[in-house]
Amino acid sequence: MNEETVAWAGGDLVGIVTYPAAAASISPTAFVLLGAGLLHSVGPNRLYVQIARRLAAHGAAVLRFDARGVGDSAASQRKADIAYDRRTEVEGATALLAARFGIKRFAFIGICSGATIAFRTALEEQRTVGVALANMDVGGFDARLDQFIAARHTTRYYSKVALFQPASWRRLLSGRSNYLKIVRSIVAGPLRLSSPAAADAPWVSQLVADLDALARRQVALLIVTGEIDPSADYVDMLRNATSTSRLAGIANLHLVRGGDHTFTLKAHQAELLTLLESWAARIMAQART
Amino acid sequence: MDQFFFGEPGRRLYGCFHAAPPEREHDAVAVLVPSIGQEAIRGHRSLRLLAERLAKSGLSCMRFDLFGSGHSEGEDRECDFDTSIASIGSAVVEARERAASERVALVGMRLGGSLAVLYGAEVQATEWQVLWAPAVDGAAYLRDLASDHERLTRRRARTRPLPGPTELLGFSFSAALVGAIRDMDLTRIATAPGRHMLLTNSLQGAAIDPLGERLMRLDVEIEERPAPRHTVWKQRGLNVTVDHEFVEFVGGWLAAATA
Repeated sequence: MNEETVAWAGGDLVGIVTYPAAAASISPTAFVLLGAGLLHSVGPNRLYVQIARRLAAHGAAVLRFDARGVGDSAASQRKADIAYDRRTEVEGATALLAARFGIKRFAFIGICSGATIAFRTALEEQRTVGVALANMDVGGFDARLDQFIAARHTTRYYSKVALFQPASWRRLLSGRSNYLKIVRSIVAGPLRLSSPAAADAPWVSQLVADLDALARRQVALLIVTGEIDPSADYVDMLRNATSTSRLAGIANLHLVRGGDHTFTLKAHQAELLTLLESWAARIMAQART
Repeated sequence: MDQFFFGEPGRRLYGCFHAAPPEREHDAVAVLVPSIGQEAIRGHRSLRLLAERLAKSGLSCMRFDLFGSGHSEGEDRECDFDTSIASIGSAVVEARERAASERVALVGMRLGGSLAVLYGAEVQATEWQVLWAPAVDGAAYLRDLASDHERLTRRRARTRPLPGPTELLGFSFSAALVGAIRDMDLTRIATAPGRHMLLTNSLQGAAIDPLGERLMRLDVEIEERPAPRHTVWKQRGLNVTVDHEFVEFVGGWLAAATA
């Protein structure tokens, strides 16, 4: 396995490309890791380094890089134009891989906001053959819907996690819990679960249409959510809006039991890595047929 | 800024060198030593901004990731005190060559500060050292990490941990590393790690004072400063915070010390 530092955009953007030791065995499909939040390109819990090295061991070139203003890359030159920055950053990344390794097929991977960027990139970049979204950040489009999801998340936390935690019971019995919040969640939660708000939200329709568009292009779509991450609630809502079977036909969905937003536990990291390896292997196998 | 890999194949380290403008170059080079695990990720931005501050004021600066951490080669469970101190040694050699200067200032954040002290005391003393909230009492540091880990992950307690190394905040700590940290007590060092040192509170209350006293007994010229206001290494989620005031203070202190 080789690793090299790379730079583009006049040196403003920096990253690392990981690729197999034998140049002849490099897959025609390259993978690009899109940054998670404000963390630099090692990724949450060094996950991006692990992903890059695992996929390179299977024959892929993998690029991880820092977005403008993050990590070791330079600050943005265009104020408050994040969409432009993200688009040109990925264009530069794919151009670098094409020039360096002759890559013509790309797959994008991201956690949280990185998943959002990966998703938007896949819609625009016609050379996309795969996109893996882990705990995609889908909030901020509809305040009412976000409140609905937050309430669902709270209800799920109490019913699936806190109920089984001795520490939670100790807090409850010792007067240290937020009793009003608990009551609201237990009483109002089921009512909110049946709210029509979700299915009627315009952006849900758009999201489903976008997923359909990727499916028609035969883009291999992997959606991974941590059980206690809010994105799990959005996926549930998508299921309700489209039907579980239809969503399963579009994307490979996977729930990491007990998983949090950054896959803190090593068991969850291992699960995510295995999912990504399988997904990547299928994509690379398709390139060879 | 130059980014590169250096060191022997199979154990290469990732580094970034921030060169001072030629007209302002001090005859010295700073080497920034990060912590490990989650603290390394959280402290990255602060160390980058500090490096830029130092280079701008005339002190060339090198950042790097310890073996088994960050972008450097090796898995997290391969990181221990021996590999970490060796990493510092490699970084010092690389920095001296790039800056064409033998005079070194080590800046260590959290366990990076502890490792800087151990490197200076056991391998080669450096002219200057800055200890940014170092771990002085290793057992107490481990308890703090374990407590944070328990608080963060108690919601996931139904997940069975993988067998093997100790897990702390998303990273595997090998038995060797855990043992070395547990046995660490910087107040027992036998040799001065540096000639001039800036110490900040270790977050362990009065623990900084015994370290300061020990260093003075070893004839180190020290300056002590209260704890940084922001514990940037404790940030969680995908946000990053920087203690700009502290970065500015350390940058100013080192720039003046090395001028």
